[in-house]
Amino acid sequence: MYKLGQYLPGVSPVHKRDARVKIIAVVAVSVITLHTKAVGLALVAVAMASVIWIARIPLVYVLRALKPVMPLSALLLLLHLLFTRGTPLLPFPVGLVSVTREGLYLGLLLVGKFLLLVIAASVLTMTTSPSELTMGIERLLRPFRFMGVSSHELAMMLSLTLRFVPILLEEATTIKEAQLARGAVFNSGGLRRRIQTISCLVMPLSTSVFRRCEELINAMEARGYQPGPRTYLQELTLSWGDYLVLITVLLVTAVIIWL
Amino acid sequence: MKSAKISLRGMVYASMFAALTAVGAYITIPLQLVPITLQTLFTNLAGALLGGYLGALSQLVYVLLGIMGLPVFAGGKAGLGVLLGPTGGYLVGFIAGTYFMGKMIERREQAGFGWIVLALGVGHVVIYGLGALQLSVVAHLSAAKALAVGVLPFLPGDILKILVAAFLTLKLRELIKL
Amino acid sequence: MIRTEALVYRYGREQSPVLNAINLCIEEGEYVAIIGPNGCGKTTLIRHFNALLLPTAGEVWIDGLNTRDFRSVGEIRRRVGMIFQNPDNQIVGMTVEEDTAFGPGNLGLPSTEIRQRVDEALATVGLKEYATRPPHHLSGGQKQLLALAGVLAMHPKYIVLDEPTSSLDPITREHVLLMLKQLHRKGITIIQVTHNMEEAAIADRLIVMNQGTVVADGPPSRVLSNINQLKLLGLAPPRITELMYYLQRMGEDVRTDIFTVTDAVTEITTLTNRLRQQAVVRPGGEVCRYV
Ligand SMILES: Nc1ncnc2c1ncn2[C@@H]1O[C@H](COP(=O)(O)OP(=O)(O)O)[C@@H](O)[C@H]1O
Ligand SMILES: [Mg+2]
Repeated sequence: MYKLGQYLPGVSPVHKRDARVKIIAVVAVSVITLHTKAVGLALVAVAMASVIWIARIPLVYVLRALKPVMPLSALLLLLHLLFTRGTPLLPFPVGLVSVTREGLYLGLLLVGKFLLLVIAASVLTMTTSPSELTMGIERLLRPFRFMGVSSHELAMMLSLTLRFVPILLEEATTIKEAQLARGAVFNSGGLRRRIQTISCLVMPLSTSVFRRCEELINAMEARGYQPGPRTYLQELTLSWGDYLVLITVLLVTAVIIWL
Repeated sequence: MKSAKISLRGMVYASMFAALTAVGAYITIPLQLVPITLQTLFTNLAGALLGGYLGALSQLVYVLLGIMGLPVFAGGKAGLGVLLGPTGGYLVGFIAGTYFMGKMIERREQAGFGWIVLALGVGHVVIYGLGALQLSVVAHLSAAKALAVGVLPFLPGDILKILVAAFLTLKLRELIKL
Repeated sequence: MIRTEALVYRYGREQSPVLNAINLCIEEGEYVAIIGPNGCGKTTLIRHFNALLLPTAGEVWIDGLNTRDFRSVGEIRRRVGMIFQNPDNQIVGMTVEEDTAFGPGNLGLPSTEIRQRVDEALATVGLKEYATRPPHHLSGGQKQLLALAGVLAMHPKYIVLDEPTSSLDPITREHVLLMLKQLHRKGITIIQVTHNMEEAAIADRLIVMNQGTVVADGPPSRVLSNINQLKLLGLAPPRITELMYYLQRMGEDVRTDIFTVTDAVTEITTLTNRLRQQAVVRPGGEVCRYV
């Protein structure tokens, strides 16, 4: 069964923080990460490690979250390793290029930043349910309108999308299997033939999707929905702990940026 | 009460295309060199079928979905880190690119195949531009290197997907009422 | 009271009307079933009951509120809850309780009030233990119960259902129907479109539609026992009613307004007892036939 996101339910102090505080904290950590050099990164890494420990997130999950960004990280490291000028690290050139100390440093720094960004974001999504996150985004954006959409409408759209994803995944799998069973071959034939094969995969998906949209529009109207402000089952409220964390995060960020 | 700019219809269809884009990342089609995913096919379709505004909105929701931790970015990536990381420019590019695609197609009453392909191509220039820009800035790569790593490998698949999207747009646009 | 006055509806200007001057009056506390062949306009009709569709001509009144009056639409949709055929395409929330909270949230109720209504509605339909689960983990029947909970949380006076059980297995169907009966007993008006005659039979009132008009309207006992008319419309009456109908046609003295097996057993037992008594009084070989 397809699991929505990376959320790991729990009762740790990290889980209990208000979604807004956690979102702001991640943004702050990201800003710090992008801003600092090696020492700063080490500090952020220590901070993240302690948050992970407090939240009792098994290390496997952190590694799993890092897996998708590994190919890109490796590529970046390699590019810098091979194409940065400076003091050679090895006494002999490797082929046409030479591995340099500067290249290694720059590469590791960049990859370290990237991985920390990903870890920070993963800790947020592992300790906050999609609903809480949606509510958090909704509340944070409440004063703003974004591309002509209010935060209420944006939250509604996020929630609808989260509803659609598992349904579509199921539907797409069924259609693809049916087509493979009927002998659709995707990687041969001329351009025209390929266009047709892919179209035959997408057409049935799209038409069923449009019907679904029509029915959903009806159902939402029937339940009295109108774009615009509305109320929710759970209104987020900030506790003392939330305020404390928020102030600390903002102070630390300010100090680091100013220094 | 402030009257909303967006209709319920628009919201539902934009959400649906956001979900399609997300799910598209999971439908892979084996090609000779690299397998392509259908993610940007739905980005194309969002621009072409929903128009500039709703198309861009659908991609915004898609990006937010990924930021919220759903592994919906290319290769199963997720999170704010990706947006701020080397490849984050493409995500912004999807929003801006779809807007251009849709706006260009909207300019013609009944856009033909050629015009749609052109519009989607222009949209891709925007996507590539923003993508390569962030790649070169964040990863400290020269423009040439950024293009070689961040654009070239995707060209064949993207061209194929543009053609498919244009073909599908002609077939599907009568079925969608906005 | 839901009242339609010479209700006419066309989907397009050039198309022929799908509803043809329908005059109906549904009182509070009724349990109404609407039947009719496919495409006769049942769905179109009930979509007028909460202003999803507005009449091309004529009027629809809900407790004196006209559906054309856009200021009343919110209140009309609160009073008239609607449940659709496909349970999957009417769920909007990420979790069961959030979906139930969708309607009350649209009403702008405060969170505490929403929480109370959601808990109450989920308890009523028996989904309380699923409150924080994602809806796509539910079975078809549970999804339909969730839709019901979403409507109940709005505290409606009327619940309108469009073939709510057509995609359910028999056991879940029973459960949903039982639920509807309970709600009816609590004073909620139920209006249900159905294809299933056994379901139609449990209503207090049965409306038969054909080609955009109401062709029969009355208690199921009267409407369903008119087997010939039903057959003309291509509707199959309950098998058990059909049995009684054929018995009657064969010359037996039985009622045809019978829709359940239990009633049929009672009726047939009465018949056999009567015949047995007759057989005793009557001399001759006739006795063997019934003893
Ligand atoms: N959205 C629509 N546009 C055009 N015609 C429609 C639409 N929906 C239904 N119809 C037509 O209206 C008639 C009645 O449909 P409907 O009310 O769904 O019937 P029922 O629910 O009794 O099967 C049918 O002939 C159908 O084809
Ligand atoms: Mg119908």
